[in-house]
Parts: sequence; C-alpha cells; structure tokens
Amino acid sequence: MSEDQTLRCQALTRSGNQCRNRPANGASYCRLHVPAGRTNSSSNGAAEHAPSSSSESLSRLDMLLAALEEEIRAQPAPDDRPAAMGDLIALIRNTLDRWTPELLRNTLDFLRQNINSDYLDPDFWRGLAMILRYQLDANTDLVKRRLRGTYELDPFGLDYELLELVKPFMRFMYYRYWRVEMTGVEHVPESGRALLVANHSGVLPWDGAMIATGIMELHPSARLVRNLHLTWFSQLPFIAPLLSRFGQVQALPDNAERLLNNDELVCVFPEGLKGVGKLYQDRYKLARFGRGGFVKIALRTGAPMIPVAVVGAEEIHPMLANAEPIAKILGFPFFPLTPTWPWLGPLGFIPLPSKWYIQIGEPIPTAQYGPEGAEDPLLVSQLTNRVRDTIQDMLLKKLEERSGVFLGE
Amino acid sequence: MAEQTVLVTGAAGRWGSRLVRHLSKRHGYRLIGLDLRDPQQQFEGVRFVRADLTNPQLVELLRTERVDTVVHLVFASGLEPGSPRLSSEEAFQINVMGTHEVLAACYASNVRQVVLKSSTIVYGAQVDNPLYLREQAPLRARRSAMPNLRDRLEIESAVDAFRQRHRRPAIAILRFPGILGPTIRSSLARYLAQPAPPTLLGFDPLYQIIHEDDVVAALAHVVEHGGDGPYNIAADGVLALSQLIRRCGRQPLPVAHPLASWLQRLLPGGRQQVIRELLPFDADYLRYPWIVDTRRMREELQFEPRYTADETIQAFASALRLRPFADIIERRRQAARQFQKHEGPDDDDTIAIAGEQNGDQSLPKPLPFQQEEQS
Repeated sequence: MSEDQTLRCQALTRSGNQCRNRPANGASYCRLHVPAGRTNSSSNGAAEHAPSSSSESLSRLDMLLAALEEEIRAQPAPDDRPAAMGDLIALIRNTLDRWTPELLRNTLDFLRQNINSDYLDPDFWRGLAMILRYQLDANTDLVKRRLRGTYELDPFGLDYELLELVKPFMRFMYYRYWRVEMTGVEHVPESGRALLVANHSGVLPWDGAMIATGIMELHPSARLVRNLHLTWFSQLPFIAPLLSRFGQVQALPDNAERLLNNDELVCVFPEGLKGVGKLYQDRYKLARFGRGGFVKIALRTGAPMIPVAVVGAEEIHPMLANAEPIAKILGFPFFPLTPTWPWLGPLGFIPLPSKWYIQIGEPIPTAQYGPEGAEDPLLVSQLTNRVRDTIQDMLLKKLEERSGVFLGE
Repeated sequence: MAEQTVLVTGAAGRWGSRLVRHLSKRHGYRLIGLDLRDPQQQFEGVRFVRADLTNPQLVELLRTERVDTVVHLVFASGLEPGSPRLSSEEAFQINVMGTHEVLAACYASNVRQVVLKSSTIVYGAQVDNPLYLREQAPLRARRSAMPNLRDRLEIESAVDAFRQRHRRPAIAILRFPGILGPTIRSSLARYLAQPAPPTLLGFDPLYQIIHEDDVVAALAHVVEHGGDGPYNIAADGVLALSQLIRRCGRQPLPVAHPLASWLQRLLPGGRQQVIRELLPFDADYLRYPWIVDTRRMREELQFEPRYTADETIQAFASALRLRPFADIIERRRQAARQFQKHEGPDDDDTIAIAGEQNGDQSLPKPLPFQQEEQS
C-alpha cells in the first residue's frame, strides 16, 4: 500500500482527498498539481504557464483536462453530480481543438473553482452559457467560412475542414458499424512514400474509406491515405467533388506518380471495376490485377508496395446479379442487384453491418530495382503476381479463421 | 549589353499596352508597338507603327529595325463588349492566318525569339484529365466548345508544326488559366461578376487562376530570358470553382448538367449569345478538372508568379466590390476626355481618331483588332 502511495500524486484535491492521478515523471505531483505552489487552490495556474505555441498549449490543456476529469470522476459521489461534471468536461475535451487558448484557460479555471460549488451558483450557469455560446459561435463561424469560401484546399483538392466534419461518422462506421479490426499498421512507414495495394469489393468504395480511417486512427503519425478511385466516379455528380475534397484522387498513372513523388501514402485497388462489380458467388476471389500499372508506378517512384487484405467488405452489398441492360441504358459500368437495391429505393444504399478485418502485410520493397525496372515486363509481372498471391493468401487465411459474417469470432 | 529590339503586335490592346508599359520602364529595350488602332497612351521611347499584320512590309520592318524579339499579342476574341461582331471567318483570318504571317516573317528575318499568349483551355476539360496537365499532354479541347477555341487550337498546332520544321526562331507559347485582377475583364471575370454564377449541380472542379500583372510579368520574363515551346503559367494554389465564386461574395447557382449542356448546344445561334453571357464556359469546364502543372515554368523559365491564387482572387474580389463606383468614375473621365477633344486644339492625333470614329472612307478600313479577352 505504501508503494502504491508513492505512485500517486502527493496533492490533495479540493474535497480533501488524496489525488489519485499518477505523478509526472520523476515528480511527486501529477500534471494537474505541478508545481507544488500551484495546486488547485490557485485559480490561474494554467494561465501562468501559457506555453509559447498554441499546439503545445492545446496538448497541455488537454492533459490538464484529462486529469481534471479523472479527478472529478474519482470523487465519492453522493449523488450523480460529479459524473455529470465529468461528462461536461469530456465534452470540452472533445471539442478542444476548436477553442481559443484564452477561452480554454478561463473555462478551465472556472471549472476548477467550481468543482465543489453548488448547481444553484449562478456562476456555474453563466459558465455553461458561455460554453454553449462559444460552441454556437464556432459552428456559425464554420458556416460563414464555408459560405465565403475562405478555406484552404491542398494541391489535390483535399479540404481538411470537411474531413474533420466527417471523421466522427467514419469513426462510427469503423468502430461501431463494421467493428473493423486492423492489424499490421506497423508495416505502414512513419513517413515517406508507400503504395498500399488492396482487394476491392462491396459495390461502393467503403473499403477505401475504412482503410483510410483505420490508418488515420491507429497509425502513430495518423497518416492520410489517398485512395485512387475509378474514373467512373469522377463523372458522378456529388460523388466526384466529395471524393476530391476528402483527398481521393482519380486512378491515373500521372496522379499516382505525382502523389508518391510528394511522399504521400497512396492506396490502389488494382482490381478496379472488376473488384467492386464482383458477384457474391465470386467473393474473395481476386479478379485480374490490371496490367500491372501499379507495379510500374511503384518501381518508377521507388515506393514500397504494402499488400492489404480486406475481409468483410464483400458482404456489405451482396451483389446477386448484374443487370447489364439497365447499366447500359444508364451508362453505368454495372448495375448491381442486391437483396436491398433497387427494391428498397434509397434504403438500398445502406450497407449491411458485416464484421470487417483489415490486414496490412509486410512491405515489398521496390527501390532496389530502380526506375528502369518499370521497363522490364518480366519483373513487372513477377511483382504483380507476388502482390496478388500475398493478398489472396491473406484473404483465404482470414476467411478460414472467421466464424461468422456478421458477428465475427 | 546591347539593346534588345522588341516588336509588340497588338500594342494598343489590353495585353499589348500593358506589356509595352511594363517594358518601357525597364532599360535595355528598344520598343516598337504595332497595331491597327492608335494607342490610348503614348510611352516614352516607344515607337508605334500603324499597320496591318498581313502587310508584306512586316518582313521589311523586322529586317530594317533589326528586331530581336516579337511578342505576338493580336487575338480577336469578339467577346469584348462594344466591339464589332466578327464572323468566325474574319476572326480566323486575324487570329490564325495572322499568326502564320508573323511566324513566316520572323523566319524570313533575323528574329531570335517569338512570344505568344495562349490559354490552358486548349487542353480541354476531360473526365480522365490527370490533376496537373503537363505541357506535352494532348490538346483535347472540343473545337466548338467555346468561341475562339478553334482559333486557339489552330494557333497551337501551327506553332507546333513550325517548331518541328524550323529551329529558329525560338517560339515560347505561354498558356494561362483564368486571368483575374483588379482591372481585367476576362471571360472568367465576367462570369464571376454575375450575381449568381451558374455552376453544374453536384460538380465542383478545381480551378487555377493567374493575376493580370503576372501575365504581363511572365511575357516580359520570356522577352528578357527567352524560352522555347509551350509553358503553363499559373499562380500557386488551387481553388474549387464554388470557392472562387464565394470569395467574390456571390453564391453559385447550381444547374442540372443535362439542362446546361442542352441550353448550350441546342439553342439556335442568336439565342446562344445569351447563354454565353451567362455561362461563358462550356459545361465540361465546370465539371472536370483542367488544371496544369507549372514545373516547367519554375524550373526552365525560372519564373515565379508574384501573386498566389489566394491573393489573386482577393484582389479581384475587392475590385469587384468597388466596381460600381469605378464605373461611375470611368464614365466621368471619358466624358471629360470627350469634352476636351471637342474644345481643345486640333492636333493631328485628334483628327486621326475623329476620322476613324466617323468611318472616314478615305482611310483604309482597318480590321477591328482586339486584344484577347478570353481567359
């Protein structure tokens, strides 16, 4: 027990209990209570510390808030009050990046003063109103900015602001809807160019979105994946600009090379249309891998190829048949008939909640062949087959392991 | 350093007059301006020659004046408000045949460098365009997609054919995207000045723009340092079309694209003009990307535009906001000028202009040259 004591922060909380946070490295106090002179009785502790850069101050405030939340939740709760406060602070933490540092500091100080104060205290409600008003302002600011066009696009049309907006939805699809399990993220390099090569399935390109979400969530440097999408999508209204704003680029050799030369992380689906337009009976059988165009690009840019196997995406829109005459009339490359589409109308767009596994394999280096390797047809076809076989093996192994389509193991 | 003799054709037009003004402030140039119209403004040390391009004396002029560099900026776009409407045959004569004449004359004399101005529109907006088209990309624009596009493509292919056959003179052809700025009224500027510029529902391609000063600076840069072949010239940064419109304080008016192309293609000639005013771009240019790679500009020309895309649209938007006032001032100024001309002494200049305005029959009817307006 005494050993446990030394691992705790030495400070007392406002309620008089021992602080339960772990102390910072080598110190006797946790991050919240350091330094000793500025325990929670000091109202402007954070303000005095204001570090120079805003990102630094943000991360510091984030830590402070985390500690504060923990502290509140740790308090003995005679009623549900501290828990409610904890939720409030959790809310603040989640929206942290949209706050100005001064406002954060003020809010933080206010909260720290009022942890033990009563709900009847008008200051508490004033503070709450301030937080809500700030939220509202931040959101109207966003709308104003969108209407005035004063936002930035990267050279490939990526709009970070929009990406931030859809992230919560993507996280929901990733963690809750398809309960994706991603393995092998460590094979994705920290920085620098790399070409992910994945199997394509599921009629709509959700697989690319989930690979991107997974790497954004799990990779230590939260890398952005640039999926290369079919030319067909660039013809579609609404979808074309959306894909572009989310950093997806049309699958053209020129585009892929440019991205890789910019040291981006690019994801390619060599099966292309044959992959997404696969019938349910052919699921997990890799279609033809194009003519090895992706290998040539990897060779030309010296980017390692990383095989990726996606299991579960085949079942989101089980394509029972392809109504070719309708596709021809509409000018679509294929017209899927699934259990829900087109019978249920727009509801047919809702994918089935299968359980997904995304495996990222070991990188296949290409730098040793040099750019001239791209001109060697034998090498290109060898590498193409190697990548294809690797992905097919990974798929089959995972398929054997999994017990059910929807519930997983 | 020996003085460089530069001949600017279309010197009284928009780009010609700007370039002449720009170069006249620098040292080391002997400038000759060539145009059918009289220049609106005289510059010190600049000689203006009123002549027709198809004039066989052009070779003589180039030889006797020992012209080193020719900047050919004549382009009849027929889009400028108040300009006489040219038939497409007349415009072709001026634009394409005129360029042929100039190239032939330059070849026959000692000209070392020819500079031409073109547009990135020639690449054509296609669904499978890579982001950032390189100079060697095929020019896939539909000839009928926009007025004058045929002429631009013809000029491009004429230059290409010429460069394949002859090593001299070096021909630099600068391809600019939409030109914006505080004063220029390019087709993109007119499009953005509408209260609600029409866009295609569900499409929002990336656009590149360039500041009008950078257009002049790029032309001057090539005059100074030389260049050979096509160069894409564009400001740093890309903007979505909707962003361009919103920056100007407008809101886009989305139109379903089958309707837009139907309106553009099926309406009979006369009515088409109305649609052109609203939608100067072919629907494809509002749908697919046609942005260009500027590596050659940076590495070979070593030219850096002064304004980024952001600053350019900023400059244009603030000018747009002030435009109603600027128009009033301009009208006042013109009225004052008119008044002065009637009251002032009868100098030669006044007579020449008055004669032209009255359609004096004794003067050879000049071809109505206009400077290019199209972005």
